[in-house]
Amino acid sequence: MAMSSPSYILLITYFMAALAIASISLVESVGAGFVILASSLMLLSGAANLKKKTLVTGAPWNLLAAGALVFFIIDYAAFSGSVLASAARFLTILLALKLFDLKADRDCLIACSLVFFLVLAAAASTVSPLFLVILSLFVAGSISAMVALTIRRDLRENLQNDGQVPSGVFSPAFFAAVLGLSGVSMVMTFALFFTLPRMGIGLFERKTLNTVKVTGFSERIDLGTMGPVKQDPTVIMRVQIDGPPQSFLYFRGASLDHYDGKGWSRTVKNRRLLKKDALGTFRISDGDGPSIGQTILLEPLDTDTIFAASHPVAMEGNFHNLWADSAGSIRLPSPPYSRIEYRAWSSALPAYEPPQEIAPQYLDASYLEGRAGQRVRDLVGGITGEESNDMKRAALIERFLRSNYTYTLDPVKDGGDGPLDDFLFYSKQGYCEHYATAMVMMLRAAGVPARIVTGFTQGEWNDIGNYFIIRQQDAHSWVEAYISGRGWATFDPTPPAGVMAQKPSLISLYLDLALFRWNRYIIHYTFADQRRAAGAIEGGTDRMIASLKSFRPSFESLKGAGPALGVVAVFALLLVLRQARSKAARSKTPGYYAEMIKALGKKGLVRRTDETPLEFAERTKSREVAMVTAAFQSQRYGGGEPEEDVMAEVRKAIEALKK
Amino acid sequence: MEFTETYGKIEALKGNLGKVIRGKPGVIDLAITALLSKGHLLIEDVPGVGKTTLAHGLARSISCSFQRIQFTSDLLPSDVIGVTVYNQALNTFEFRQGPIFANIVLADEINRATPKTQSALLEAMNDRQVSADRATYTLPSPFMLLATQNPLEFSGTFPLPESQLDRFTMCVRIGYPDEAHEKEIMQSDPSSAMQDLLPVLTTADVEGMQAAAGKVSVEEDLVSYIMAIASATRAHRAIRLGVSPRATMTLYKAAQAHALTSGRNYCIPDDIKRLSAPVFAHRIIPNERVPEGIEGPSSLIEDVLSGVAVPV
Repeated sequence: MAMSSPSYILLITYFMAALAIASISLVESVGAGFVILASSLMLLSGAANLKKKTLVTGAPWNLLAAGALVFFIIDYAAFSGSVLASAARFLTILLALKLFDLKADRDCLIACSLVFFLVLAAAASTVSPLFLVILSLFVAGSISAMVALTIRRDLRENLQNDGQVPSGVFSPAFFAAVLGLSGVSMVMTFALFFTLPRMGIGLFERKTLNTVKVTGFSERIDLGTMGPVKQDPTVIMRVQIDGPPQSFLYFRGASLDHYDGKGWSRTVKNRRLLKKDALGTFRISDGDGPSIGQTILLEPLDTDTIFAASHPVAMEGNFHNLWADSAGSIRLPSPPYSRIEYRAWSSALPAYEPPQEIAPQYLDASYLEGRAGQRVRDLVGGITGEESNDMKRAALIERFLRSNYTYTLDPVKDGGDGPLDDFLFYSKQGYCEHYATAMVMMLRAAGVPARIVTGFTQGEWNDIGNYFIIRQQDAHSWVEAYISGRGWATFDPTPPAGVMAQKPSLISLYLDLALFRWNRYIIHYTFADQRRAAGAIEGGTDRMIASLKSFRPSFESLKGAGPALGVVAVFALLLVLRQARSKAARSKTPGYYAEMIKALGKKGLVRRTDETPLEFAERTKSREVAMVTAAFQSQRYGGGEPEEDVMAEVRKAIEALKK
Repeated sequence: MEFTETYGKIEALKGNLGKVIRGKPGVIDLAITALLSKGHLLIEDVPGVGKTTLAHGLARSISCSFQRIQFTSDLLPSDVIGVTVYNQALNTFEFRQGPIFANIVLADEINRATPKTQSALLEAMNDRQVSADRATYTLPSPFMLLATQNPLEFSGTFPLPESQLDRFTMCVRIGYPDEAHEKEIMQSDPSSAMQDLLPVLTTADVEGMQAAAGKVSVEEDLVSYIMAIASATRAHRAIRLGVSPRATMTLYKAAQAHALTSGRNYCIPDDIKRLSAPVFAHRIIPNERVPEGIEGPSSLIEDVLSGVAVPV
């Protein structure tokens, strides 16, 4: 399928325009309405171009472009306030206008350059992997456009045939060549991307304005706020763990201690600054048992809490400092507002803490003072009976809650006095918050220090990429109880129905893996990664050199190598000869003729490729050119070296022509 | 034969022909080129522009035998080749040579003969011999066939088949003379001019010149140039049938002869470019996709040439 050149170039131009639309739709602040408006404008221009009508041209075009500039200034000053968004809109309008005015090849070139700037704008404002697709298509499209326009220009200049491209030029082979070229340039670009040294952060890393709002990690949470987010599939973080997953993991966020009948708040305020050790690791506690290493890529969140599997021992990341409060939550100095990556190590043992003084808040059962409190105490007494071991009592309460209450995201209110009373004695249904609150209060009623912990369960396990995908819907709250002699132990009274995630589909796992790799290795590709890659390559080379050193050439192996070396030598010799021959072929034209052509070229006389030297000489109507051409012909085609006096004449003629 | 001597004789032949064919040095050059490349010439033009005069003049300039055959639809192969007759005195069959047995043969209005008679010329043109009754007779050397045809008359004609056209080195048009020359031609006496024409060459001279033409050097890149032009005709979108290897070989030989005719012992690109249309045009078959502004195979070849880079 070969195409005529005008329709081919038009097709590419519109392909590029479509890419521009895709690019600006990635710039979120541009707005969907504008994208639709611009697309319809471009479609309109497409219809006009198909009918070979030029609607806007010359002075009206300039006027409209000036209007767009005014629009840009007003847009920037009064509405958007963002140069990027306004500039993207301005360029899109210019592009749409240009599409109404596609007369010459130059217009297509301008349109393509506008598309380039729009793609650039998208690069500056998105971290979406879709951008890679757009960029690849843009490279392929712009290379095809440049090649086609160059072919046309050359034909026009050299053949004066009005840019009529001979049939068969825009053939499948041509498209294959262009795509191959694009592929090669993409590969080269990637090579540059990964090898150019960078500063501490990823090149595309930037502050994102649209962070994910998470609940449960502020100073106060009201019961009932977590329900709605339990259906939100927004990804919060992806966690790779060293080795296969052993036990069910809880990613701990914040911990709260005071319940006032409606919600939880934090009253234990003391916090300490964590020290970075010599290796850049923040030690949280001195646990020295086995630990689970995790690499966590945290999406931009609006909280300063960072997460790790309970109980974290150490953390490492691109942080200046970290805070740890006595309740065990780890906080950044401020919300990061961008994607961050860090490593964390958590104790693999259920509890590790040495005996410590327990803050009185953890036993605070002031809410249980009244009539409702008595019912709770009676209930606990009924469950625990004569048991005196704290651990066993906690386990009994946990089992009681798990088996006697119904998990639902939509609990009914049933006349109780406050959400806890309602849950425990009336509706007997609720979700993790209710279960955890109930358990904490029951433990406290039984005299066991307890606190509520918010965070995330481990979410989906992506066995293709070996990492956990943790979503908003995996938000969870559970219980920590202080067991004397063991420290803070984790209990989860919520029945498994509320914890287990659904089995994800294979396609979604692959898609998420692609997204994860994109974030990790493109958006977040840092100097540390380069150092690691370089180290790996170095290690590989070292191993190779070592194996070469240990190689002992024996007589037998040399006998085998002989012919091989011979073949290589002959091949190299052939290459050298070929090079020499092609050099000789290049210098077939005598220097003086080339010099004359150059001198005439400066005067605007250029030999067309299909013009013979004699025809060209006749066209110049110059005696000197005729003379040089005659000498050239007899040397070039006749094979005779020109005589001394002829050469002198030639020199003189060329000098005259240079003037 | 020395090169200067050869060229001197060519100049004499040119001068001689110039006396009868006025204002057409290009056509004379092509005719001599065809002669030197041991080829045959097809002259395609309207009547009265000097087709016969050219053939006649060429024959008279060389002291050699000349025959003219007027082709008609009832002409039989034996009328051209000859016929075997019974000799009563000797009591044997003997072959009476036809008009083809001459150094220069003018086949006038060749497209009026039936294909059967046209094909009788095939062997003579290619192998310079004729076969009759199981015997083969060699034609005299040099042998050159000049054929004429009228491109405008179609009724009662038999267009030459491709195989026959391929055997003509060149197909040339003479065209009208310019005004000054036509006035001169009007006032001159054509028969006396022809009568006054004296032979300047012998058949041996012609054979020597043909041998010299074969020795003209053709640079390797120029061979590639010929190849590039031929390939371009085969790939051109408006040409159904490109040129054959016989055609490229013919162009090569014709370019050598043309270089000699122009006084050079080496070819230049111009030889090839100038001869491409006369040598190739009658061998290609255009299709219906001929672009606007191109009329006839000659301008199609010009179009091909405009797309082929000249080696410098």
